[in-house]
Amino acid sequence: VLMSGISTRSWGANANVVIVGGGTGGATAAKYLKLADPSINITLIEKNPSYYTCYMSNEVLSGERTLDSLQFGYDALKKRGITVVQAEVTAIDATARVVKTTAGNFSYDRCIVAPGIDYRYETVAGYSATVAEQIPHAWKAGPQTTLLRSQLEAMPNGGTFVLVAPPNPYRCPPAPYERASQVANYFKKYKPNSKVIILDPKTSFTKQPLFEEAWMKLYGYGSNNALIEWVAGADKGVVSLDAATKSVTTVGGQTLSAGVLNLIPAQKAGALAFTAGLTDASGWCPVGFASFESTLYENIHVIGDACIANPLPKSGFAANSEAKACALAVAALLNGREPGRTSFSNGCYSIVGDGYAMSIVALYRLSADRQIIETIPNSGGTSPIAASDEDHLIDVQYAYSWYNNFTRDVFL
Amino acid sequence: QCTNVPDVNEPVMTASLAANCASCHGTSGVSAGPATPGLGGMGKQYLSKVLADYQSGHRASTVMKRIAKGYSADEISRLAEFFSQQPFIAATQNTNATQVARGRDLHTQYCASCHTSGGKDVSLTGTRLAGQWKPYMQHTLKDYAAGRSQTNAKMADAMSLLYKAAGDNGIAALAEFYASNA
Ligand SMILES: Cc1cc2nc3c(=O)[nH]c(=O)nc-3n(C[C@H](O)[C@H](O)[C@H](O)COP(=O)(O)OP(=O)(O)OC[C@H]3O[C@@H](n4cnc5c(N)ncnc54)[C@H](O)[C@@H]3O)c2cc1C
Ligand code: HEC
Ligand code: HEC
Repeated sequence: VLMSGISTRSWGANANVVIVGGGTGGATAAKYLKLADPSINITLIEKNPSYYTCYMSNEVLSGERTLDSLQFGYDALKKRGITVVQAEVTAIDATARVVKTTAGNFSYDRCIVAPGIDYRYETVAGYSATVAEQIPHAWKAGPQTTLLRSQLEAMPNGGTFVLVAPPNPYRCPPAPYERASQVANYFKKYKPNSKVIILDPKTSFTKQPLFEEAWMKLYGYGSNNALIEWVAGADKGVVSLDAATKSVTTVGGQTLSAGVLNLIPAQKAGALAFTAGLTDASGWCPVGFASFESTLYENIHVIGDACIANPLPKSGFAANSEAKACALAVAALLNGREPGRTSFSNGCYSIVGDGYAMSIVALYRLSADRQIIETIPNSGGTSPIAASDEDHLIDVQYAYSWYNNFTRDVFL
Repeated sequence: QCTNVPDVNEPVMTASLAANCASCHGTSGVSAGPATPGLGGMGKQYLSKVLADYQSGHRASTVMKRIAKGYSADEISRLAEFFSQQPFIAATQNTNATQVARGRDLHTQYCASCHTSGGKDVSLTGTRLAGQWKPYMQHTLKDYAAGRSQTNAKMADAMSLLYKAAGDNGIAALAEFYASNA
């Protein structure tokens, strides 16, 4: 019987940890593992030279921010003594404990995998990675974000922005609705005859009463000339896309043409998770919560969007929180100790208009028997309905503070 | 020797609790702003009291009530201990010299007896006002002035005298003075 995955050998100092993916989860894990035990050799392998945060990327769409302001490099992590390698991981040999990359092989005592998400393009006929370069989902911040922004800029006043929301589970539950709000804010100022239509296969979404309250206040939601319309129901799932006419057809047989089309597809764990055999039938990675060790392979831990960490959602906040818990556990295991009990949190600010933001927070902990992540009773929740204008206003300042502190917590 | 049976009475590790605060307040509680307060260098008792006051609603907040309610008294006390041992790093902010001067006068008149050394010294109150982020300071002072946050009787008196005499502009000036970290 395994003792929470403690191997028969005790590694102590100079153990090797290889971290795959230098996004929110991977970069946080690298930093916090170094803080927990400076003697561990940490190699962080990331395919891109720098990272663009998805968080705040909706503000690029509304023109409030540039993509450059979302860019973070790896120099600060290097200064902490972490080896950062720019390469693509092609495979993980769990038996030999070797991570294979385009820049050679890296041996590990423990490996932490945080590859983020991939898309189920096959669920929409006519959609693919190639088509997405023309009809961007912009669900990873980068060139697609800039492309979507320029399409919105080029769209004439009076055009329709159709945002196809993804089915559960997906990266960042409030983000489609924050995006709709940001684009509506842009329209309100510059293209007031235009409209945002959210086509949604779900019949409810996170912070819905708060979003709807804000949309009523700011965008005439529910009225005849509303800037945002939410069209929802199981029959509203999109089954096909015609890129040439920028139109989508729903399960219910309805066809909708867009001035600008933003189809956010259904999602699954990042490709590497599949290559490495870390996924189950759901397309995500099952883990034990005491250390986020894969239930399929020993000595490989999976964190962030790719893992199944219910009730934690797939958010950057959660990825960061999981990474910290995983780092503490891995440091303990490499020193021959049983990991201690950990806690987790999630939080999200949505900026929905000028001087108007709102929040949700949730707190969790590893259950006493180490089997599940439990929500801490009587805690968390959203901003209240009918909060004061002043609170919505300062929440924008707190949202920017979160971004500044959070990105430093991850990358610096 | 480790066993397979986890200790069900084992508390959640302080390091893990505190790491989750860093997501909003910054690593080790050093906040890069522009608004969320830094947590380092304050008194342990002050931090415990604040968190308990958030829980009970004695202190107004946007998110902290929802957060503080998730922690036991023991966890709060360990968190307070942890952050009291972290450094306080004064926020660098632009300030307006006229407002700073006005704030200094108000501070001297109403607040300096407890918040000594221009609000830098934590020894009497446990809290550090100088070098704290301006929007937060302004917001928290308004909460006191409007009675949304409760505090000890003497500080409450000082706040209400200040507010009667100088109003919202006085609060803005005080926040400006503390932001100057002079
Ligand atoms: C529009 C939008 C807004 C959002 N807003 C928020 C928000 O306000 N708050 C919040 O908490 N979250 C937000 N999120 C969610 C957040 O971005 C993700 O949940 C978070 O980034 C997940 O972290 P991760 O580490 O799992 O994956 P990622 O951050 O995507 O990191 C994965 C990394 O792995 C690398 N990688 C993948 N495969 C390989 C390989 N084979 N070899 C080498 N490197 C590889 C990738 O290049 C990438 O850098 C938002 C998301 C979107 C789309
Ligand atoms: C989601 C963001 C968020 C998280 C997570 C968070 N805080 Fe806060 N904190 C805030 C904000 C915003 C304020 C300002 C008060 C308010 O409006 O809630 C604040 C205020 C405070 C204050 C008052 C500071 C002072 O100078 O009086 C303390 C103390 C504090 N937080 C401690 C903590 C601790 C401890 C944790 C973790 C257990 C934590 N916070 C987690 C956002 C957060
Ligand atoms: C008689 C002593 C006393 C006086 C006078 C006083 N304070 Fe305080 N103050 C305290 C104490 C003690 C605390 C600690 C928290 C508590 O007890 O509520 C505190 C806490 C605070 C805080 C909370 C810090 C935070 O980050 O939210 C602020 C702000 C503050 N005081 C500002 C002022 C201002 C401004 C004045 C003058 C108008 C003032 N105080 C006058 C004793 C005093």
